[in-house]
Amino acid sequence: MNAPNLLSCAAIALVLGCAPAGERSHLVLLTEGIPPTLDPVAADDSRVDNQSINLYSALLQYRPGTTDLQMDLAASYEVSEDARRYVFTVREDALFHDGTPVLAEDVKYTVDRMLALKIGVWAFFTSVSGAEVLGERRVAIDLFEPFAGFLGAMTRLYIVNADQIRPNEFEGDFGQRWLQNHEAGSGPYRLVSYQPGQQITVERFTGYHLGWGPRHVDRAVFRVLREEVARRIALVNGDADWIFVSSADTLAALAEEPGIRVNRDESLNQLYIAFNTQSEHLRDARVRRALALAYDYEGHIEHLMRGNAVHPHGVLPAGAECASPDSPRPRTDLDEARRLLASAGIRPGEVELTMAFEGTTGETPIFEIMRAGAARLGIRLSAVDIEWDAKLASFSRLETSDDMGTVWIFAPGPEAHHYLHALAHSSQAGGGGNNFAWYRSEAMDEMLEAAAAELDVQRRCELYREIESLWLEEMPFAAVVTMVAMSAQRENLRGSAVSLGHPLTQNLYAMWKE
Amino acid sequence: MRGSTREFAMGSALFRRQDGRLVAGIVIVGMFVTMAVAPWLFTSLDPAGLNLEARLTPPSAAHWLGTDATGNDIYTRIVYGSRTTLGTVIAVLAIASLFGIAVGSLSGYAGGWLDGLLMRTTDVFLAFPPLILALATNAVLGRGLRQTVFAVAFLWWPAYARLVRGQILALREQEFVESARVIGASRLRIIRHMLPNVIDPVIVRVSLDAGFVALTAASLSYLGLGAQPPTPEWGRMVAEGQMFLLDQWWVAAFPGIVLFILVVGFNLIGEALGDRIGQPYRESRVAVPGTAKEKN
Amino acid sequence: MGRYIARRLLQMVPVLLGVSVLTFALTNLLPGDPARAAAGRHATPQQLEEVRERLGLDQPLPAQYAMYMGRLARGDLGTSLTSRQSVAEELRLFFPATLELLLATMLIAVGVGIPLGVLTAARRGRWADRAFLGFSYFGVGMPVFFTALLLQIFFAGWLGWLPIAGRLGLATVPPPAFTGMYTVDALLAGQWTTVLDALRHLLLPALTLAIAGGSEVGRITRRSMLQALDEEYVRTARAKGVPERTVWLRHALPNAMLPTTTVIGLQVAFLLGGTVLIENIFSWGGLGTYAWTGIFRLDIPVIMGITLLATTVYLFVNLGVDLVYARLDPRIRYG
Repeated sequence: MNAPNLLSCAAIALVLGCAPAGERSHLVLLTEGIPPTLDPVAADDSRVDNQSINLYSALLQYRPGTTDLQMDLAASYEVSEDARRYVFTVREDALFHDGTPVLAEDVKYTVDRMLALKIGVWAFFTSVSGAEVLGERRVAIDLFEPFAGFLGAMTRLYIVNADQIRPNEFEGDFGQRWLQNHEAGSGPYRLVSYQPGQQITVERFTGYHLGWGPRHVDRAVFRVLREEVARRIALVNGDADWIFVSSADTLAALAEEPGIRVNRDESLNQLYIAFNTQSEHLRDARVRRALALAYDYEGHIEHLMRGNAVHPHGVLPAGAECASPDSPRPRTDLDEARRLLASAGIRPGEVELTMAFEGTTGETPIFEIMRAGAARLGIRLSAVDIEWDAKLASFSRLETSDDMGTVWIFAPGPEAHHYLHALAHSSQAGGGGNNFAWYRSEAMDEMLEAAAAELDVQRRCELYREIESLWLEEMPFAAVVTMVAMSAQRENLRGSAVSLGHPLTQNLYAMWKE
Repeated sequence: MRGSTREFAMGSALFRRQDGRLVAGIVIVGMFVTMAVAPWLFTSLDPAGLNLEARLTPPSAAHWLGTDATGNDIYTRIVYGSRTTLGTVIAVLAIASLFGIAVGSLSGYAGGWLDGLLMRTTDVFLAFPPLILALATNAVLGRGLRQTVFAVAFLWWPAYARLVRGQILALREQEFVESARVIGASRLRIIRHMLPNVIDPVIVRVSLDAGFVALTAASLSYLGLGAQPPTPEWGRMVAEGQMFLLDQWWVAAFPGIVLFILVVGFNLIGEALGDRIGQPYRESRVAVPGTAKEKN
Repeated sequence: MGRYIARRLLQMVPVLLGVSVLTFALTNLLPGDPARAAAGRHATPQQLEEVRERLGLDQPLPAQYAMYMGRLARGDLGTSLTSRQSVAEELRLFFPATLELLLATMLIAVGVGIPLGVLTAARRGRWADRAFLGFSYFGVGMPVFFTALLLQIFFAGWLGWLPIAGRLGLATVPPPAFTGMYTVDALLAGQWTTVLDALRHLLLPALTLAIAGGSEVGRITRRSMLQALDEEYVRTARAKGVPERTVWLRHALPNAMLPTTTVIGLQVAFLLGGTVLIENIFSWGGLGTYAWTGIFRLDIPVIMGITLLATTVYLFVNLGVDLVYARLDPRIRYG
């Protein structure tokens, strides 16, 4: 069927004995979101990261299922005294899918590309100033100032093949147009076919630098199936090996099915509700705090999620760095909420607010819980059900922003920076940033910057404690729940592990079928 | 158009004869109208509360049709949802038919370049892919019931404009209009005399369209565009219940069945009335630009 | 006839122009800034201005429209703001899927609907007629999204006979692209298992749409048959002793086909833009999905492209309907 694959099979067969073509292992994974592109620069979006982690490699990577860093394309790295220069040495045996070696030049191109485009993963690298080629396989990445989350963020900087992209550049787009539906990576799997909006088929890249054992999957298909009930039927019928599950009810039902295993993995995915600090009624922090006190957190976790969610620690997910069990957990207290409103001079029935959420991904009950809570304070909440892309567009300008909105943070690592800076720094307000609250505070900005640049964990966490107090005082965002990553699979599938730093993604290299 | 030259005094011939379909249709639609006008006769519960402890309970004495994902009583939401659906249907058809009548009579009576211009405009609207127009309108105006009403009415008025124009053209040639003209009646007066004769086909057309409008509006709501929560809407209820279809089937099934019953009710009335003036079933949406029908 | 067609083709121009103006006006009312979308989130104000200038977005709207139409005349539908691909290219990618679904739907709807309509007209009032009428109320009255769910649950969920969604099985490699319609391409390539697989996937979505469409086609055929049989020329033919079979097939049927043709034309027109729901539910990945994402990503060139394509096809379908009319009805002359 496919010449390179047959050849590779023959090559492996000499050494290990290769399964005959008919018995090659296939995996079928059903996802919910349609990836907008295959370009790994957009891998801040988990829909893109899901493909990128299989098609591409980064210099460093998390050990699957953990946030422990290990070498990937890099053989080693050194950090300068002032922590503003990281020098990486690329592995000698690292190859791109076209067979050419991964060189320092490619790393520089990847960094330059990200800095020029200023999109996607660039949000994790705002402190990076540039890259310098020091040798064929030695490359330095320079920072404006020290950044504690740098190495963790490097797991999302997927290295692209510069020589393959350059001929495909178009009007200075650094190959964005071409990479939309092509790949130029060095990951364990290479792209076989891509049908936008439908499916992506990948197969083993024999030259993968981490090598292949006897068990790995040969070929895999990621298919988009938006309806949860359809994904469930496909799994039960044996048409799929792994599916993404968004509702706790589906998960509970699947747990009863023979031959199916459900996964409830710890995650760092955190739901917040933004309060637009520039909107008429929410300008007063007391109103924002009152609304945060009106949400039924317990009901959300116990009933809606059937226990498949956990309380955050303060404003961070429990698994995040610097998250402390001593931090106050979000609580419901209507009496205090009413007192706060009264002190802000707001009487029941006076205030009407809008709240944006994504009904298509099952967020309607979140709105309903918030609405019911607000109603008990005499605040009317009206719904703006909107798709993610449209939500991002409407919150990118103050005039079109709603009073409230749901925001999920799918962070690239456990560092508090990825949550708190992404939400509350003034630079993230508007223009497509996650600061839907339009929160602009010089004090907060300074503290966030100081914390990010602090390399000592102890001191860094102290700074985040201070940020947390200010946050709870000002309440630009209410931390709602930390989700448990839900999925289901056939029992014979092994090694499926949700990487904490790669939410909603599946790392094929770690998986196999019994 | 067949039957267009027959004269009907307003509503006269339409409802005279007995017809089982008409009776059945009126009973069905009448029931939903009663629900919409006086929902408290049917239920004493709140259609938009929140009761997470009671979510997804099966049909029982307490909840005849079970509860949904936020613990609301589905029967109650269906009762209140009739308000949303009927309100949408009435608003859409009122806007579309009134605007259509205005444009159609102007076009038919004025003739000449104005007629040409107006009819070419209806061509454009009819040629527009309907659902895409509705989606785009919603994207521009935002999501909500009012926007959906507007979007659907936007799709529907040209059909009425063409229907009325056709009627006016046919009537213009008729005796009583000629004589009115001869005795020097004003234009306005003549149009006023002609309008009642246009009304019957419009009523039939409205009854034929009602079911289809209900389906279109529900489809938009199913896609998340129509009524926003907590307003109960059947299409949206199906959408929100479909992920439970295998275990808690009642969440999506009942609103879907109810929508179906209402549409059948509308269609029964529409067909019965359509038969009486020889207007075939929903051929009324036929008014496609430049089709042969226009040429005779 | 040739002159008639030429005139009709000319008449399409103002309609297409009107549709393009309407779409252009509508899409420019969309919230969001296309320059920002194209330039990227963190573009500096200067970069933003450059992009605005390059895309001509700094020009007044009429000038932008003129530029768009100028490019359109050269067959350039522009570039998608989100995918950066040529819109014409993407339409070529997505349209065949919708066309395949549409053709399959119409094949079932017409292939089953017309014979059923004729047969039930012949058995008027008997149980077959009543059964069909009853079913057709169901077909016409059911919301398609609901029918789709029921069919999915029944055929894929309970019986497990048919795949629940998608266009091809997961292990099936798409056939070499020629028309873009998998069934046709696989046939052309002689890959029989792929043909079968594509058909199995096509069946549920096509059936969902065909239940509604076929019910309407059947009803209108039945009705027009009964009407035609009541016409004078049919009675005359019968009086002259023409065999009943001939009366039905040669005299009544062609006349009854007039309204049926119109309904079929309308169905096609509706399906063109109306497959969004079905494509969403069955993960079909055609024009509907493309339109859906285009609209919610505020991708103006995409919306323009889809609208113009759908309108053009619609106008041609109309022309086709009229030509069929002319063949069927000798009283209609074009010239």
